Amino acid sequence: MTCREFLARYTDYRDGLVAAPREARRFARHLVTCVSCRRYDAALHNGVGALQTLPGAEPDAAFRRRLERRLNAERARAGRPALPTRPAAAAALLVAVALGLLAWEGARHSPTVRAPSLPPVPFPKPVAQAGLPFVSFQDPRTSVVSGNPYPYGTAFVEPASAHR
Amino acid sequence: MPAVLKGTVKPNPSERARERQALHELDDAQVVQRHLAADAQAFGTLVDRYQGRLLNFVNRTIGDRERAEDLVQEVFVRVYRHLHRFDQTKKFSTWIYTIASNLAKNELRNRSRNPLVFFQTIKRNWEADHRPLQFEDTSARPDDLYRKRFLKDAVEQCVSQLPEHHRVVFVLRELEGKSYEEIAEITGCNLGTVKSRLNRARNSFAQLIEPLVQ
Repeated sequence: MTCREFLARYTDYRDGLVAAPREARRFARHLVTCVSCRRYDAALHNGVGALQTLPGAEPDAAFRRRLERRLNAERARAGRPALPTRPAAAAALLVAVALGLLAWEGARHSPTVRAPSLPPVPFPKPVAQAGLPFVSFQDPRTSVVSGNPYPYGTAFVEPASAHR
Repeated sequence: MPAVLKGTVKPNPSERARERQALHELDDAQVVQRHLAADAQAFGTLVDRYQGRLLNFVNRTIGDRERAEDLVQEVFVRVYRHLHRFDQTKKFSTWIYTIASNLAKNELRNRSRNPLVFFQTIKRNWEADHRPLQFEDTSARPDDLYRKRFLKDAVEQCVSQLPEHHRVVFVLRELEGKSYEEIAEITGCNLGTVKSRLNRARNSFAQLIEPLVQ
């Protein structure tokens, strides 16, 4: 076994995951023959051992008091109806505003003023009149300068049959 | 009417102590069930059991004792809030460590918001994952009596010098005794990544600690 292989597979060896007896013997033989890897194994073993024997950091009394206060607040909050979460509150607010606006718009407009209904008027019947159609034209000799209200002329023409 | 029947008598302190002692002898799953059954002392038992361990874990991960206490408190508040939704077929310790690990990770991520710090962290982590595994023979180094005298600080410092993603795995395995599967679940990595990081963490730690523990 080379040092490279030993270092690459060291975690398996250290955690007892090298199941095959032949492989375990290879590791053990390498540790016996290689000074550097033996020092490596010893350094890790001793270092972790020193770390494990160090007294752990225990929280002080103030930590527990602060935690109790926070948990009491949490219990009180749990006793009340749950506040809506932010997205739910935003959606509910939006719907409420929309409904409110609709209601307000409906109330704001004054009622439509309706015109009084007129009595029904009979539709005039067309009357057919006999006789010649009447066409009226102004005399073309009339002048615009004289203040003719119809400067582009009108002519009064009598049909030839009018004087018979 | 006797006060006992009226329900105005508080439990005897010795009774409370006995109840607390009884709770301490139960395993995590049983304590959780007692809490969900409205046992007022059950959650305190969980706090007693995990506050020290979580504080050490978070403190070693983020390197700030004061901030670690805040984060551990936050862990317990979240556990209290969501314990009714905890899947009781899973291990409680894995769940609470996962919460702690995520909070610690977020804390480290928030610290590295500075682009320079972020880049340096990325670079250091990449180098830690890709440099060749090696171990120098340091028998020629002179003894450092100052460092050996202050072994506690030196050993802690060696752990703090590990890259964050190696440090978490190292602490969970070597100090908390978690299995590879538990570490994978806590850190959100697969087993292969856990083994690789652990191997590199051990390699780095051995190089740092060797002069101090000869």
